[in-house]
Amino acid sequence: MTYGLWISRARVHLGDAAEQLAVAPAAADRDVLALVARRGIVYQQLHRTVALLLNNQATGVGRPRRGATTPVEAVLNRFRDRLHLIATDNEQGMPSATSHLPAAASLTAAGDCLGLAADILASHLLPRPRTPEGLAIQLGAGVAPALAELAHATMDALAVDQALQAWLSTAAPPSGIVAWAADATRRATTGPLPAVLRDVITTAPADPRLLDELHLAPTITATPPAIETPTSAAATLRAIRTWLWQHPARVHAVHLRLGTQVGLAVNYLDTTANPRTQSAWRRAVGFADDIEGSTPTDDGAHATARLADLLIWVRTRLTRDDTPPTDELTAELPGLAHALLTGLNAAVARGHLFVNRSRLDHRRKGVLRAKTIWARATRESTEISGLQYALAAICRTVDQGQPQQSRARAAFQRPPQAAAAALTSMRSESSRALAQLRRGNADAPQRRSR
Amino acid sequence: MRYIEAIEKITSELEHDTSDDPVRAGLRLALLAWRQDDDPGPSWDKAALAVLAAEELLRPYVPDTTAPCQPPVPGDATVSLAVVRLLLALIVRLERSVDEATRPLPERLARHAAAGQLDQALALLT
Repeated sequence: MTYGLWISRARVHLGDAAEQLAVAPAAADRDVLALVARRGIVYQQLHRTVALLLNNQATGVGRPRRGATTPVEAVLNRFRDRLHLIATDNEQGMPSATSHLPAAASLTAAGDCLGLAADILASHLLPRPRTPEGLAIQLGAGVAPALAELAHATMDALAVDQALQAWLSTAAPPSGIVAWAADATRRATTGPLPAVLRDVITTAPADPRLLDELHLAPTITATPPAIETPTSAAATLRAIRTWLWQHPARVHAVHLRLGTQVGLAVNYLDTTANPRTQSAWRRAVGFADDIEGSTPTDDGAHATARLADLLIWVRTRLTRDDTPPTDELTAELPGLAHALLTGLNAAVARGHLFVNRSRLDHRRKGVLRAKTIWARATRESTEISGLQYALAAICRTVDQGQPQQSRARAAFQRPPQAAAAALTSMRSESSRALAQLRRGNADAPQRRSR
Repeated sequence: MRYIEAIEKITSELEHDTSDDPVRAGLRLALLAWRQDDDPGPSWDKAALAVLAAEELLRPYVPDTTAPCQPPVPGDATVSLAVVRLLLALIVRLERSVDEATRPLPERLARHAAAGQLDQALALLT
């Protein structure tokens, strides 16, 4: 499940909650406490997500983002700050309660979905950008469109608040808890937030919605146990290149050898591959094969095993001339080249690579035979500079243009059509379901549809 | 030493000697032909990946040797034939060593798998 799908689900649940409140039985204190607490969680998760996107700080109210001078940034910061005020509105510390109302379940589900979306972002961004995607997001890739979508989700939450107010008015007689809840929802719906949301939707570009396809940051130990499909192969490759990217200081010679071989083999699956890229991968394989080093341990050994698994899977496809859809796999190759290049430089700097395979050593039985005398690799070593040059040539296929744009391109290679199609399908399904609920319920607040 | 001369000597050693010395050198000679070709084509690339896989499997078990020589001239028709003969000799050598019970099982398995990889490479080149 991707970030975009969780946000979309949250919006569906918020719409359900508004509809269900319109037909809920008269307000009782216990239900009021339950609904207000769950509504608070929704706003807290919305604020958490917005804060992650804006400044990578989930507690950042009052901390203007450095360099936030553009009108769009000013609007977005107001969005974050207003959300923070509502998310922390429960200063009286009113207790929560359980409720059997369907609206309470829908609000719980909405809060959970938003929390999962925020978790996906956090996995890439905290405590610092941990993945190429995280770095690209920190540099702004896909942020403004994601915030526009969150503004729509916040509008949905405000629609729930309006429905809550209408529902609270059914309480007879109104208790202190009902009055407190009505005040809280009124502050949200009549304060500056709705205007700020309109500003965000108007000013923030709606596309490209890159984050819709963002998965939880992969970890090398949580990759699929068996590689059986192009999707699981791509997930494995994504996890490997993320691990390499996160741990350049733990990259060993075997990662360089197997990583370049995976690059060459995967590139071959892509029938539209640029011949120059293929040639660069071939050169990279050749130079990497001349590099030796110590054996990795722990996660490094795990990464080696996963690379070997992936290489077997790809080569099996190649040998059978069975070329599965490879978009997902080939999209990871520039990221793999980046990670290998960074790891190569780090490994050379710490003196963990050895070269000089072909130094002449001795003669035996009349055949001129070299027995390798390994030497510590330096940046000037032919093998190292050759591998650097080849990997850099592969990276250059996405590094044309502004550095920020190229980082975004490298991190989000695939256009988000697949995710967008899934979202559209989900929305049309939920619209049909909601239409049934709306029938005969003319007083219910209209949920804003995108 | 010329490439063809080196590959023929290594092939001959593989056929007549029991030492593991020529194994790694032979693998590297096969790869040298591939590396020298700017556009070797899909079959050669796939075969090279198979040879590399064999090399990776044998890395802990065979001595690291190289037969220094001048690289082959791209387009030399005799190179392919020489590489095929070399691969055949390597396969025979590795398969023979699989039966040597004095070797530990992981090594015998690695040698068997490496022979299989080289067999794949051979199939791609012939």
